[in-house]
Amino acid sequence: MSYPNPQPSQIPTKEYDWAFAHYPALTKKFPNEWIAFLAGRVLAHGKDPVRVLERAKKVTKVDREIPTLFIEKGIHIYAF
Amino acid sequence: MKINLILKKTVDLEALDHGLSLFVWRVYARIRFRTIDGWTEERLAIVDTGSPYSTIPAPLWEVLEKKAHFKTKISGIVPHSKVFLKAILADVDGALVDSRNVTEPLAFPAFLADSREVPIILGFARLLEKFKLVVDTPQNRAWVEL
Repeated sequence: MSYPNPQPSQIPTKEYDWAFAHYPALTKKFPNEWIAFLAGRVLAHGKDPVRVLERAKKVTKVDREIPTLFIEKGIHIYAF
Repeated sequence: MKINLILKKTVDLEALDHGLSLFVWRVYARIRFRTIDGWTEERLAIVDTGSPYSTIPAPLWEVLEKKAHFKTKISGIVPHSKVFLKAILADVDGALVDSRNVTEPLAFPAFLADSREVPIILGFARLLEKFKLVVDTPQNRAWVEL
């Protein structure tokens, strides 16, 4: 079976820069939740990363990928 | 090939409440996972050199092309036998991307967690071990090279 090739990123780094610049405020509003955001605005948030993206797509009409991020509250150290 | 990563530097609010000015650093990669009929949208994943394996939260992994190996439990630094997440170790395919480049599809093992409240973590097994990883915090840049 042949697959399409994966494509480069369609999301400008500045979109992520906005989220990281506002990370403290996002942590207070959406602790340990997934957010979908675009152009300096949170479009959707919640515990389920798939539903969050689906809701964000309904909110916005733009035909492009929407960045998502898990907002960690506190210091998380992942060690398995 | 070089793939640019994203460095996050944010203020540690808890430390700030105690009068300490400390920063929380994270290194992120953009990744697409292979699905049954194509590739997912880009997801941001933590590059974790302290993690032997990668981790993917539910339900993100449900639509992925995967080969399950065995059920297991994953735990963090809390030394308590009852503190763990159930997971399945499975092979998945992913490709790291940036605005210009895409790696070849990489098959690697990942814990498919039964929790939605964990980030995507990229660990060493058959993934980070394949790259030269550069993290240049003074210059606020990071990348991997194949």
